[in-house]
Amino acid sequence: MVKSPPSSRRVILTYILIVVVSYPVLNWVLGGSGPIPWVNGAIDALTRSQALVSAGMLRVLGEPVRVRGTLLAGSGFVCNVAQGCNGMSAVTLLLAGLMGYPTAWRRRLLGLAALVPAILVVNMVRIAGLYWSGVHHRERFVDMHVYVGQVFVIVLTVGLWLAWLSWVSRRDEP
Amino acid sequence: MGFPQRRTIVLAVLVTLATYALLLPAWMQWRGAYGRGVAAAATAVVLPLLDVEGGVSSEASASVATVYTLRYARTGGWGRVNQRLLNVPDLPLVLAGAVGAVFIPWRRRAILAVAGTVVVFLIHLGLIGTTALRLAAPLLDPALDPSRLDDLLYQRAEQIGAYRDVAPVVVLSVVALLSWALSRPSRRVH
Repeated sequence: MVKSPPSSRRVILTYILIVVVSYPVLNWVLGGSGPIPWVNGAIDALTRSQALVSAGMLRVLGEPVRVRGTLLAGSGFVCNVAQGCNGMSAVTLLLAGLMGYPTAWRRRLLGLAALVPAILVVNMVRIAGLYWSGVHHRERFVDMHVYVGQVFVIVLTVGLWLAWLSWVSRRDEP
Repeated sequence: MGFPQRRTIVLAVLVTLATYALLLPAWMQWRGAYGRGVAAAATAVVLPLLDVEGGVSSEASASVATVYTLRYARTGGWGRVNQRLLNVPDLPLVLAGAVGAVFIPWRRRAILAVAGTVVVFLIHLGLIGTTALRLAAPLLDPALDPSRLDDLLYQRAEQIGAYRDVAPVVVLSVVALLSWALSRPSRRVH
């Protein structure tokens, strides 16, 4: 049972609310079709590069695949790495979590530097896995996309973010 | 600050993922029934409340489709619009999140599971009601060109259907807020 004092509970609630409110705003700005053109361009480049790296992973595993922009194609199957599939939703959630917590900027930046690449790597593994399932178990592709890959990345992101919180809260203790 | 220790966090994530993996096969069997339940509740309660004439049904095959049957003013008949709004992992995820909340006792986790399920059900009802309202408006406009109507219906169904992309985040936010509410210090004297 958590027996933290009321003030701590208030801090935690404020923090959860900051994350819940800032997530949609960040998701809109960083979603790939937001209000800032250069950000949209960067997100597009990130999506394309993820498609390239995922294709590289698949080739290493012996899966023949071609890449055109954000499209992965081969073996009679084509899949598009769409804006919602580039891991930015998870990165945005992490960003909201890092920004909202009252701690030193150095610790936030450390969290950002360590966790964003980890999330993107996991997402590229997810893309490669989805393509593989599309080629070999096409009837399961939608389920793998909606029920497995997406949930795995988000739960893992929440776990990484909680681990960062635990690390930061221990260092911030007087 | 009262945040769980690293070992507890790892345990929470692993228990959540393992429970989710265990629940998923059952969910694939039952998701059609859940979809039909939400659709029935929307037809019986939400649409009359919003003064929308028509109904909602749910069909499950490769994915869960929500079908809106709404009054079409141009012909005086009914218009049907399909959407994949309920093709989401919300229910197994909320249950897995409740089981994985290892930092609160089992009894409160059971309450978390029930409360989370109710909140998710209400979110789904709200999304279906919003969709029905947004789809009904162009269908009731007899002056609207049919091809423009098709575009509008598709756009509006997809706009709300974008919930699918953020559904896990919404569900985990619900679990986090309810966990916070249920993790208050116990008043019992041990």
